[in-house]
Amino acid sequence: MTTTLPVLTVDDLSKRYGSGCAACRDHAETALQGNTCRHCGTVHALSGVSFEVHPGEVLGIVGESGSGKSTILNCLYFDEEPTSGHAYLAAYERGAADLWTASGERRRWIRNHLLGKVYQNPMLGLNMDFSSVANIAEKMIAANDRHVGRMEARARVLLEHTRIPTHRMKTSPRQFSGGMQQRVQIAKALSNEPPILLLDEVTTGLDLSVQARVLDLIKQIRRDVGVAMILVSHDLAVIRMLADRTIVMRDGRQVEAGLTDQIMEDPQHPYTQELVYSLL
Amino acid sequence: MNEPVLSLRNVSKAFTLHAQEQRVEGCRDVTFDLAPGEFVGITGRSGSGKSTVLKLIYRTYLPQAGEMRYASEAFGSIDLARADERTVLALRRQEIGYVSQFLRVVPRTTAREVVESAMRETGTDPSAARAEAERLLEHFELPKALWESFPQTFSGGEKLRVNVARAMIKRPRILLLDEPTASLDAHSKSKVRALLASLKTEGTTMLGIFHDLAFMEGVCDRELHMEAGILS
Repeated sequence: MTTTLPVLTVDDLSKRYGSGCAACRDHAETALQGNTCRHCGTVHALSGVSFEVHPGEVLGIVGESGSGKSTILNCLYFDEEPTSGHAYLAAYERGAADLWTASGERRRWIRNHLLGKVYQNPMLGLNMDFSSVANIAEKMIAANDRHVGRMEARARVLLEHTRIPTHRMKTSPRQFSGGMQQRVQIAKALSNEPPILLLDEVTTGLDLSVQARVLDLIKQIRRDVGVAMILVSHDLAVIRMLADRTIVMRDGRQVEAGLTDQIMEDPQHPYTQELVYSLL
Repeated sequence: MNEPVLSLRNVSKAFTLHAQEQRVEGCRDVTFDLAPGEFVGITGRSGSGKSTVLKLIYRTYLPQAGEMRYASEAFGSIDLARADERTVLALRRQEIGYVSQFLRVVPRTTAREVVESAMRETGTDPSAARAEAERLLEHFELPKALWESFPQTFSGGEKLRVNVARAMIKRPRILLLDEPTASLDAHSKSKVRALLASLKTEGTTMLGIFHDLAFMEGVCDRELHMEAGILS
C-alpha cells in the first residue's frame, strides 16, 4: 500500500564460520545441531536472512545469545564479511548497488557517510584516548569535514542532545559511567546524520535507571531526527518499548517477523511463544 | 444510511499454544458493521472474546479467517485482515486509536511528553503538538502539577486520562476502547463517560468494551453481546 523505498534492504544474508561440507550445505536441517554442523563443525551463524527497514522505522531483532542477531549488524557495518547475500541502501547509488560487492574504499565511505553504529561494548565504538568531542570529530573527519570550529560546534550540540554535561565534554569517555559512554557513542553515531542507525545491545549491562535514560534518548532521537534504526537486543522489554516491527532469530534463522505487539501478544512460532511466555 | 466505516465478516481466531498442545478459541464468525460516528459497546463475560475482536481489528492479533473491511481516509477501502504491516502502522499513527486499561510508556517520559509525542508521530510540528497536548490534559482535568511527572507514579484514573489523551490527540477516526474504566472509581468513571460523550459529538466512531453495563447504557448507540466467542 505504502510505496516509499526502503532505507535498507537485506536479501538472503548468510554467514558461515568454516568451509561447510556436503552434508550441511545441502541438508542443513538434519546436519545441523543448533547452528553447528555435526559432521564438519562449521558454524552457520546466519542462514538466508532477509528484511527491509523503512524510513523512520525501528526494526527490532530479538533472540538468545548466539542466534546471529549481532552478526547481522557486523555484516552491515563491514565489521565482518558475509558468506553470501546482498544489501542495498537507498542512499547509496539509489539502492541499485550491492553494499557487499563495494571496494574497500567505497565501504569506508559508506560506513563514514551513511551508517552509524553503537556497540554493546563502548571500547569498540569509542577511542578512549580521545576526548568525547574528539571522538565525534574523528567520525566527522572520516566523513570529510575538516572545519575545526564547525566540528566542535556540532560535537557540542550532539553531546548536549545526549545530555553529556558541558564541563565533561573534553574528558575521555574512559572516565565515564557505562550509560554516559553509550550516550557518547550515540552522539558519535549521529554525527554524520546517517539515514540508519545500528544499535547492538545498547542497554545490556546497564543499571535499570541508566537503561531508562538511554531508552528515552533513543526514543527522543527517533522522534526528533526521524532516523531509521535496527535495534538488536535479547531484552524483549526493550524491543517492546521501541520497535515498530520485530524479527525473532534462532540459530541464525528468522523464525518469525511481525508487528512488535503482535509478536508479543500473538506469537505464532513455538520458539517465539517460549520466548514471550518466559517474559516476567 | 451511511456506508459503514468498518465491516467485519465471518472473522475467526483461534490460538495454538504449541508447548501445551492446546488450541484456544478466541472468536468465531464475528460479523457486524460500524457506521460513521456510531458508538457500539460489546458486552459479555470474561473470556467471551470481546478483547479478541478489538485486538484483531488493531492487528495485535493475526486474524485467521474472515474480512475486516475498513474505509480508510489515506488508503481507501482496505481489508485490515490482509493489510501489510507498514499500512497497519500508518493507520495506527493516523486513523485508528486503541485505549486499554493499562498505560505502557517508556520510563522517565513525562505525561506531557507521552501525549505530545503521539501527535508528533503524525508529523505535527513540536510547538503545535505541545500546545494541543496541554489543551487535552487540561480538558481531561489532569492536575497541572502532574504534567511534568512520570505516569508510572499516577493513580489508575490519572493514568487513564493520559492514555485517552494520547489516543485522542491524533483525532483517530475509529477509537477502540478495551475496558478503559475497569480500574476506576465512580468519580473517574463519570469523567470518562463525559469524555466519551464529547468525543461522540465530535464524530469519532467508537467500539468499546465496558464491564459496567449500567455505565454503558446511555453512552452507546447499541450493544453487541458475545458468548463463548460468538456474537449474538
